[in-house]
Amino acid sequence: MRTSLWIIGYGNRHRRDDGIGCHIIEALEQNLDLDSAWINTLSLHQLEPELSEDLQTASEIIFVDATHEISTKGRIWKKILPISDISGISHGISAGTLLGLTRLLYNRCPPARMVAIQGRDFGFGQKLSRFAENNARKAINDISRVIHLRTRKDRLENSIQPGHRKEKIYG
Amino acid sequence: MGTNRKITINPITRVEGHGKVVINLDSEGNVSDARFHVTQFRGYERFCKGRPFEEMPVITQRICGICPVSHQLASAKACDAILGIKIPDTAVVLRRLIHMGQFIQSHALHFFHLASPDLLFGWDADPEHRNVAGVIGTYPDIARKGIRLRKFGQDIIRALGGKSIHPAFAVPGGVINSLSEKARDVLLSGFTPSYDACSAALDFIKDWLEKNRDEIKRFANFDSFLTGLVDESGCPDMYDGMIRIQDWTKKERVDFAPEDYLDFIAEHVENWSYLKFPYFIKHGFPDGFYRVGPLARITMADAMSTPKANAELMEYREKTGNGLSGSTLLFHYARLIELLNCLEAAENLLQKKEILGTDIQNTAPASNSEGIGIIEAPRGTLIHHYRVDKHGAIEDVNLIVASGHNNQAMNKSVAMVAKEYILGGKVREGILNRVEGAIRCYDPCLSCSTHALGQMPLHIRIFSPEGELIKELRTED
Repeated sequence: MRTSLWIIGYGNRHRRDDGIGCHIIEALEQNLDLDSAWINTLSLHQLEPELSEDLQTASEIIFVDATHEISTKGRIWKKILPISDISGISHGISAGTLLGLTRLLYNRCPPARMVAIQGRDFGFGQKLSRFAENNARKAINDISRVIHLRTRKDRLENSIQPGHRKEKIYG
Repeated sequence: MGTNRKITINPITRVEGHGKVVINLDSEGNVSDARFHVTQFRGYERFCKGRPFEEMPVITQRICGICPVSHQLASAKACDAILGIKIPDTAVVLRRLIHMGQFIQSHALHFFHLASPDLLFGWDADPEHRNVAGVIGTYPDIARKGIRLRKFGQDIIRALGGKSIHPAFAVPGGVINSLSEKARDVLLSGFTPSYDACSAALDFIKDWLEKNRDEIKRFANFDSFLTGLVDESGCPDMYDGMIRIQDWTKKERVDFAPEDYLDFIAEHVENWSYLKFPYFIKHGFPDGFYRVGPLARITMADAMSTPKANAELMEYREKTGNGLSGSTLLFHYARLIELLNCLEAAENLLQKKEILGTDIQNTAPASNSEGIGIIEAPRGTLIHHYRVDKHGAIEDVNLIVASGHNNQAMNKSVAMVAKEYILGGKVREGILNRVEGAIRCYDPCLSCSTHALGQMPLHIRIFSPEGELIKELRTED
C-alpha cells in the first residue's frame, strides 16, 4: 500500500498564537507542491473523533499545535502514543486520545508525532505574534524536510527495481 | 422515623454544558421534590448590544460548538428580516442543506456517543463500562457506524462552510459560498453507508423498545403542550414555516407566524436557575409548559416530508400506542426518525438544480428596526430576535433556545423519575443514572441555553429536610 502522510494543524485562529497550527497548514498548502495522492493536510479548530476513520489508513501522522512550553528551539518534536483510557471523550479530543480511539475502533494505530510550537500571545486576534511567526518558520522548514524525505522514499519505493538497495530514510 | 434528606447530582454527565439536580427526600425516604438547576451564565444578550447587526451570525454561532450552524442560520434569518429582503433561491437551498448536515452530525453524536451506553448496557451497568469506550470495546460495529454518520454530517457542513465547527457561511441576505459540482458529487456518494448506519440504529431502537416496554411506560411519561415549526402540509420543517403549539391529543392546536411568537410565548424566571421557563401564554405558567425537539416534532407531525421517514413515523405510532407515547425515553426513537428524514432531505436538496447556482446573496440597506429569525435546531425551536437603532447597532437581543423551551419539561421529567425509582431512601447509582438519563433524553445544550462557557457534566445532591447533605455524586469536568 502506498504511503499516506497526514499533517493536521489545529487551534483557535481567533486566539492569535493558538491558531499557529492552522497558519502552518495554510503556508504548506500555498508554498509546497503537495502530492495530494499521498499527502493529506487538514486545518481544524479542534481534533474530532470522526477523524479516526480517515487516520486508520495513514502510514504516518504529524500533528501541529501551539504550546506554552518553553523551548530554546521554539518548537518541540515529540512522539504521540495512543491513550488507552478514552472513556471521557467528547466532541473535542487530544491527539493521544484520537490515536487511542483509532486503535480501538479499527485495530490500527499509525505512528504519529507532534510538533508543538511555542507561542507567546494567546489573546484575542487573528494575527500571530512575531515570536510565534519566527517559530512557525522553523516548524515549516522541519515539516518541509520531512515531506521531501518521504517524497524521495515514496518515489524510490514505487519505482525501485528488484535487488536494489533501499535508501534508509530518517525523518 | 427517619430524617428528611437531600440528594445532589452534580455535574450531570453525557450532556453539553453544566447543570445539577437536587432531590429532596421526606422523612420516609421518598422524594418530596426534585429540581434541575442550570448553573452557568454567559450573557450574550447583554454584550451583543451596540454591535452592528451584520456581525450577529458570526458572534452568536460562538454560543455553541455543537450547533453553531443553527445559531448562525437563525441569526441570518433575523438579519434578513432587518434588511427586509428575500434571499435568492440557491441561498435558501444551500442554507437548508447545511442545516441538514448539522442535524445529521448532532443527532448521530447524541445517539451513538451519549445515549447508547444506557441503551446498550442498561441503567444499572457498571459506570466504568457504561460509557462510549465501553460501547467501542463491546459493540465496535455500532461505534464505527456512529463515527461514519457523524462524519458525513460534518462533511456536508465543511463542504459549504469550509470547516465543521463555526463555519463561515450564512450572512444577512444569503450565504457566502456556493457548492461546486465536484463537491456535490462527493457528497452524493456518501449516502449509502449513512442510510445503512441510520437503518441499523433504527433496527436497534425498535428491538430495544420491545424489550423495555415496561420501563419506557413508567419513565417520565406525561402529556404536555408541544411546539415546533411545520410546513404547509403539517410536516416538521427544520428551516422555516409556521410555529405550531398543540396539546398531546391535538384537541387544542394553533399555528402562527414566527413574527407573532411574543403573542403566544412568554418566559417565567425562577431564582434557582439561570435558565428561563418559556410557556404558552394562554395557559400560563406552569400549566402552559411545552416540549420541543424530536419527540415534540414527531408527535405533532401530520406526516414526515420524505417517504422513508414517513413510513418510520407510521410504524412508530403503531409501536408506541397503548400509553407509551408520552414517555421521555421515546426522544431517542424520535431522534432517529428525524435523522433518516434529514438524510433523505439532504439527498433531495443535492439533486435540485438550484444547488449549483451562484446567485447566493442579495444586499440592501437595513429597512426595518426589528428582525425575528426562527428555525428548528436539533434540540428544538430556536428563536433569535433583534432590535436595532437607525445606524444598525443592536439595541436589544432575545434568544430563546431549545433547552430553554424544554426547561420545565426537564424539571418535570427529573421529578417523575426520582419519585418513581427512589423509594424508602434507597439510592443506588443506577437510579441516579436514570435521573440523569431523563435529562439526557432531551439532549440539552446548557451552554446554549444560558449561553454559557464550557462542557456540561452534571452533579446530583440529596438533602434532608433539615438541609443536611446526605449523598453527592459528581463527575469530573
